[in-house]
Amino acid sequence: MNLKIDSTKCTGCRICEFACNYHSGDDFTTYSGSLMLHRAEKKDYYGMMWKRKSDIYLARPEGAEIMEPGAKMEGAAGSKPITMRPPCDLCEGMEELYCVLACPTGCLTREEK
Amino acid sequence: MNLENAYSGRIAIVDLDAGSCEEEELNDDLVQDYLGGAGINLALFNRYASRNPLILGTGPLTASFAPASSLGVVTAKSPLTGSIVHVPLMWLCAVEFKLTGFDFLVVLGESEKPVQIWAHDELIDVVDASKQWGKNVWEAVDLFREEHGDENVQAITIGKAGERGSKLAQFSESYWGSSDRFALGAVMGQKNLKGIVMRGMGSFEVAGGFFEKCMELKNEIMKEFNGKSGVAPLLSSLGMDGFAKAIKPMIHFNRAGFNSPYAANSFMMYNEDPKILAETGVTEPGCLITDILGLVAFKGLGADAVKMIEKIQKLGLEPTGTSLIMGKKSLDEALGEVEKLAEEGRDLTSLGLPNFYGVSPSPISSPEANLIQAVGIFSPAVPQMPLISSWGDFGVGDSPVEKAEWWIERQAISYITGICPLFSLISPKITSEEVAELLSLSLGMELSSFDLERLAKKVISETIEAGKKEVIYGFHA
Repeated sequence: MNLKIDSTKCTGCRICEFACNYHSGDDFTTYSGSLMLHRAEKKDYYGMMWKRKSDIYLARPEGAEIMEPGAKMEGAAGSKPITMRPPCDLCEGMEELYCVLACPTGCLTREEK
Repeated sequence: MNLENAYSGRIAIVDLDAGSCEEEELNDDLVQDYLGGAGINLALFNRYASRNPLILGTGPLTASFAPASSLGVVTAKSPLTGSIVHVPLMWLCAVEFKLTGFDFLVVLGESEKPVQIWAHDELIDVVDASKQWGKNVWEAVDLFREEHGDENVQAITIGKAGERGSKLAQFSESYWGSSDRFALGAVMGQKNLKGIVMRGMGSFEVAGGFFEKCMELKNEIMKEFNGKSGVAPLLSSLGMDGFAKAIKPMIHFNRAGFNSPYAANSFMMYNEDPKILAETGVTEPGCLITDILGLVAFKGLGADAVKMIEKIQKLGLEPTGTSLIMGKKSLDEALGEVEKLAEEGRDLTSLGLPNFYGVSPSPISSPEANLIQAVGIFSPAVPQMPLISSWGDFGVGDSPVEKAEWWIERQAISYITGICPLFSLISPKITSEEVAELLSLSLGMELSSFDLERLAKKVISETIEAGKKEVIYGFHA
């Protein structure tokens, strides 16, 4: 399975960040999750950063972009911390992706490979 | 009791007279007696009543997987009504605060100079805010974020109206106003407190089965909405289809408070094409509508109401009282006058509206709304009726007294436990039984819906009683 992100459906509720971390750390926090909401609040510009094994997937509302390790991200304030996070293991060993379970809007969905 | 699943166990006591910060333990007894949120806020208020306290608190479910667990509560004596009041935070501040490592914050006394309280990483500091003082709410939030080097910093802040001690002042949650209908923004101004600023990187333990139970409940709740989202369906619930239609073309996206299955806020774009998806150079394309009744108060302006709300958010004014004073003015006239209103500060006597709250400013007119406002301890910014759902969906009868009692008790349970009180009027699936079950699971103690309802009644009556005590006010010049 794979994760599909449609950030035009994101309401910014943030629960996916915590659900992701809960899979990897069993606690309620965000610091070791592989998903991170990018929020330019005053401009109402919300996107999702997803750290994968070999890159970072930027789900922008206008379309996705893939950032190679070490590349500079334009217009993605707050992106630096995600480079320090563990990569997503697609909830290895689980039947469902935790972030998908938690997302209330269909912004995050499961995609069969 | 498994306190670690619900709380960090710390109360911060900030004395602005002395400029000192202390920490005390949140003990089991206090949680047993009052559980949290408005309940513990009230206990702390009573303990420090002679020092004009302003309390920020969270519930045991705040910042958790429980649906709509966004609630924070600010409790103080309202300079407007004289009552002890509880104002909910429903956006992102409460969660950010709770993850700083503190569950409650008590602010005592008054600072001589403008300050901010900076909460982060299990630390609380009183920091100079002369750079932010005199700035409008949006500018101040930007400066707080710049100063602390993080776009995710949240701030409860005031604008010009609060700085001047106006009884029309409202504190703001980040940029977008709040549910403060009680002039607690003026209490912050009186304390020379420009902002309570927070960034939370902490964590909580999660009880076994809690995540699964919350997901199950969230999935049940989602079935109720049929794809509905944003302020338009809320306006329709209030019988304002026409107004909903007028503002709909301006909606960019609908946004949710923390972990809310329903996105109750809508971002209105009027300085840029609302269909735009990419980030552009327009720095202020519009504003987020978080206060549905505040918007309704200006519905006479039609779609221009949203521009008025932006101005009010920046000045830190309370919209329903402001709209009463503005009367039927054009947008241009009102925009000019509202600036003056914030500048005039606390002296509203000349306007003949020294205490408009007692005159029922809610745009909803109903016998139950009037009864609710007469009690006046929970914010009437949360509509005094079910939204999207009906009274019948909640099992409430036709009597105005029954409706008012239900609303007050349901709000109390939300304010104590940590569930967004607006969401509790949207979803009948958030029952006392469900909340009690979540709490029992998380705290590892037996708690029934009856216990919650009994506690709600106790907090309501003790809040009313506390309002009768003398709190000394001294506005600084």
